[in-house]
Amino acid sequence: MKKTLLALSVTTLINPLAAIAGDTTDDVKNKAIEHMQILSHGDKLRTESGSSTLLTELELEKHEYDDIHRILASVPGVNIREEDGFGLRPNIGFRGVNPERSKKITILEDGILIGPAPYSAPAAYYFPITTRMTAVEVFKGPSAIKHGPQTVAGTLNLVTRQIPIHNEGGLDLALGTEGYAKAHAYFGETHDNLGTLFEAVHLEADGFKDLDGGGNTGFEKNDFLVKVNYLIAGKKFDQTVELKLSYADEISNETYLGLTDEDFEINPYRRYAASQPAKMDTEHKQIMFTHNIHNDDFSFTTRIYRNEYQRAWKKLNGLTNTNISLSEILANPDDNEREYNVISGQENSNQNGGGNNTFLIMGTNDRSYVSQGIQLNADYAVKLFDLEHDISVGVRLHEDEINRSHFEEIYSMQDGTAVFNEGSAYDTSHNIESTKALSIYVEDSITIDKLTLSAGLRSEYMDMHYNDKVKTDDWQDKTTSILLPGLSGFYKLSENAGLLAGVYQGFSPSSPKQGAEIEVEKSINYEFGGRYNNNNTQLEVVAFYNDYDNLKGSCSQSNCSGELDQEFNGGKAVVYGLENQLNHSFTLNSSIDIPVGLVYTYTQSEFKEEFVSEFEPWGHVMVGDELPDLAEHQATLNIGLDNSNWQVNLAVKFVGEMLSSAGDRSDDTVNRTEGTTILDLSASYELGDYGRIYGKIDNLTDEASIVSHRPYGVRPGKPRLMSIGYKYQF
Amino acid sequence: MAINKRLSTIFLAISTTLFLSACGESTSSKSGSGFGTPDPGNGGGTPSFDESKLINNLVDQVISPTFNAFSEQSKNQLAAISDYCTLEENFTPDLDDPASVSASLLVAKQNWQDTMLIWQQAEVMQMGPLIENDNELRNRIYSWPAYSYCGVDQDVAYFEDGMVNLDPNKPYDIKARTSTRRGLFALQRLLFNQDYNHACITANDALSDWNSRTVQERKVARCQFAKEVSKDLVDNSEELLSKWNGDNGYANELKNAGQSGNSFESTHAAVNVISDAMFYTDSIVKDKKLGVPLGQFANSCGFEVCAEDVESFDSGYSLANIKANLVAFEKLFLGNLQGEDAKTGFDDFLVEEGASDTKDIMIQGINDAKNAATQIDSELKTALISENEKVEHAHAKVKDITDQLKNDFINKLALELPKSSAGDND
Repeated sequence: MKKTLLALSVTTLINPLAAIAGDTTDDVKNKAIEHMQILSHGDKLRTESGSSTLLTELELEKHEYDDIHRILASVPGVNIREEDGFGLRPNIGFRGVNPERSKKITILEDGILIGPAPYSAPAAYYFPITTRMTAVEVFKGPSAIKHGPQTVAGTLNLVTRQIPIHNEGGLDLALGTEGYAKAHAYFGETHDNLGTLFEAVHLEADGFKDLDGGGNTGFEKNDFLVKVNYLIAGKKFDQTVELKLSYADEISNETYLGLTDEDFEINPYRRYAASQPAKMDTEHKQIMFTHNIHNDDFSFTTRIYRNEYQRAWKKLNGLTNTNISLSEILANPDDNEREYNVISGQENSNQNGGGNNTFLIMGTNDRSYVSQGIQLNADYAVKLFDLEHDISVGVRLHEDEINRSHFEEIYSMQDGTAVFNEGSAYDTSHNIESTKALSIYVEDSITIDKLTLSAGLRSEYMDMHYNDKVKTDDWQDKTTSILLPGLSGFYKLSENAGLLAGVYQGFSPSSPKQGAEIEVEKSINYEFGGRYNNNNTQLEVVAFYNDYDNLKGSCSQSNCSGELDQEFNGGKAVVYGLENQLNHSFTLNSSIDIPVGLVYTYTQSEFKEEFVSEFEPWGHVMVGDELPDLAEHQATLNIGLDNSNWQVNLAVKFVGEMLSSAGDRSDDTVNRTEGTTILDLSASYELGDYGRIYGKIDNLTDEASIVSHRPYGVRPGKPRLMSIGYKYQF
Repeated sequence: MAINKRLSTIFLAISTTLFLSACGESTSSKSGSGFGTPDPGNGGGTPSFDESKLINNLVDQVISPTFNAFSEQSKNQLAAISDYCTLEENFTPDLDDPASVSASLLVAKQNWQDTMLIWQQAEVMQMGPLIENDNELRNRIYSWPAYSYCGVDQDVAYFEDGMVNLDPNKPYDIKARTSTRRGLFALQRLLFNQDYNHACITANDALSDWNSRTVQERKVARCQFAKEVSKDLVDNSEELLSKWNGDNGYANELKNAGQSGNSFESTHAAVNVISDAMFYTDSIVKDKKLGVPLGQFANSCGFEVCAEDVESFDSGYSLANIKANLVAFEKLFLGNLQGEDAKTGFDDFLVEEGASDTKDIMIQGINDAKNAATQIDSELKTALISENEKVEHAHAKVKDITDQLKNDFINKLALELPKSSAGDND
């Protein structure tokens, strides 16, 4: 039985006694991998309350996506703002939260926090390479409070490959247009209770943008994973210890600079000369030690982890001699002709006294992060009052830090080339934010006939510190504590159908630098829905209503010209909608199946207070205005032809128009992206003992529409990209 | 069994209700003296100091007189430029005596300088109507540091033709033109620049024959446009007065701060508006007017001393502008100039807050900076090379003032830094 993190809790909580019998190595191994994943899957009706979605390795393989944005299109209730087309720095939100840098969702890898500094600076500049993941899990609703610290929206858990029980290995090589290349290999085995796994991935592309003056706009990523474990089968308990080491690096020629509307019309893939020096350079290291001890009605897992991340992103921040932001210049190039002409390389920076000089300010936000902690999870099944209680407890002592050493340099636009002005570097933000956090959650699930009721409580205590490294009297110590309750239930109508409902309090912490007057984000979230599963058909329909006590926005370089990382109060707001997922497999004949999956999300949002915000995506907000970056309608249709030797899959993704800033959708003056439909096609053919070949075309119709008006100017999604690959597994 | 079930359900419901109702969040913090925004307490300033008196004095005795004087002087300037232009239009080279035209041009230039010196004081008083819509009105009056010689030269031709770039569908209207083609900076080029060729890298249709025309034709075209710019400046100065003065003017808004119906919730917030304006001394005087030509920031010459980047290259009044800025700063700080009758200023506020030392350092800084500027014998564009040490010294003395302004001044008076100074470069 294959299990995910959800699978673990569900199996052990709902039916722990039936979990796993016997004490063979394989069984011990099977149990040991469960704690990495959460969700169960399979033919049976899932009875966990709370909306959750699992994408298995088989589903992930269908389109061989490297881009988490494209993967999550098959999950209802996910709102995404695309940026670079490759998904290098994802912008993911659930149920309407601001998707900016995925900072409002909790991102886990194998059940532990993986963001660079999830409390102190939650913007997910590091995102694990999705190619090597064997499952992706999404939790929304009351189940979100088990994870945290971001509990308003939910949790995304990425599951890495587990050490195989027997010899197992694989190779995946692919080449494509725009210089795309992928090399992915792994090998693992378990010998005398000692298991090992090695995995390596290399991804690269030249990029699909046409840089003024020429040059590479692509990226190179490397990722290495090593796991070693030891299984101890005992009489009373089985135990596993595991060491996980991983390393990842990335160099990408990415910029925040987009285009004017007029230039987008001419060539959506153009990149202005002023973005020539842009470069992101990152390195991520992880070490994690896991110990699991369990028997049939008890499981206790300890994880000790440390993540180190360094990144330096050089990109155009602005121009000298003007207060006008890059966004404004590109939105109104006619009013800012001089500035626009310099950015686009049509005029030189230096006018030699004939007018004010317009130099390029190139900022490098150089940051290092540490995130470490110890996490304990226990699940215990016990009978009280003649009822089966499944008690789940988690404690995490976590520490993270962001250390900023930002600087800027001056470049001159000289005959269409951005030239560095020697000796022009100067420091900007030099500060540290750090957090020590203690999180505890307790959940009790009680089964009363057909009803499973779960009551949970999460406590977060955060001790935060901020200090400027230069201005030594600029510091703050802040402590915040909060209790977050949740109640949910699942009522089994039949063996195939059930109803779920839940209510819980969501929370999003404010960063250490924010003064006490910036409130934390809080919301009361409700959901109600139903599930149906009759082997061949799975349906889940969930309505949600998120009632924000105080919605928050925060400034990144990508969405604000104000002070970096400043947070803003947005007051009361609501987001509500309906999430639907339907899967059904038709049988065409004895050898061909037609699996069909439809995901549809309807979302509405409303600010409940009028206010004027310096947070650019909000601005002057009126009561009733909608939140930005949120489509009213989103749908993805996955349809395939499945034969034992070959597969063809088509994904049709529709994302409705999204407002780029808060406003009234009926007001034509509010900037917005248009609704788009993207088709992705993939096919594979089995070569028997010789592996499998596959080919895919992303964006089949070469749709080139505006996916975002931010960070600066409009930008396209990925154009049509074709690739072919070969996969061999043993 | 059934009772147990019920009990269990009730227990669950009660505990959840308790959780939902009792849960809460608490935050506490402590911070260093330089952290973020000092809390101005009750929003009403310090009870022991009468902030209202400070605002009233600065508005009535310093700011309003400056704006009024500017408006009056801009009318004098229009008259002087009109007189000069009439003579220029009627002048025939080689036939008429150029002395009277030269004399009237000199008067026009003098009037420009008089207007400019008042405006340089107003520069340190940018608030209310001057900073609305991204400083739109201020930029119409004086666009620097944004400027474009080519833009001004184009508009000379457009105005003469009565249309923009020979397009009959675009009749010329100075009110619709960008700020770099209007105001005091454009006037400076029109009156002082003696290179009558246009400054554009490529000549558009309107300028295609410009360089081949006679100097006299071009002088006339420039003076006629100078008259138009001067009229526009008068209109803009009156717009400033209409928004500043009167019952609903911004001056009254400041003076009545904290009263019901007023946009300032406290007098302290209004005081902060005035202190924000004084930061011009930091970002513009110290950095743009001195730091950039000294090569401390990227400039036209790279990172070297660069005469081309002084504020008033054509007129040679860059140093006079800086001196006027310092005078305005002194007036706002003291409530009066040194030697005049003492009136309520920020110096009194500092004394009330027990920060006499800060007050003394700032007064010393003002005097040192004024002296340092006076000691420079030549105009800034030549002094940058010939008296470089003196210019560096003047920069250092201005920095002495702004260092106090950004730290002790703001902290002792519980004021907020202006947003523009968030990206501090010191």
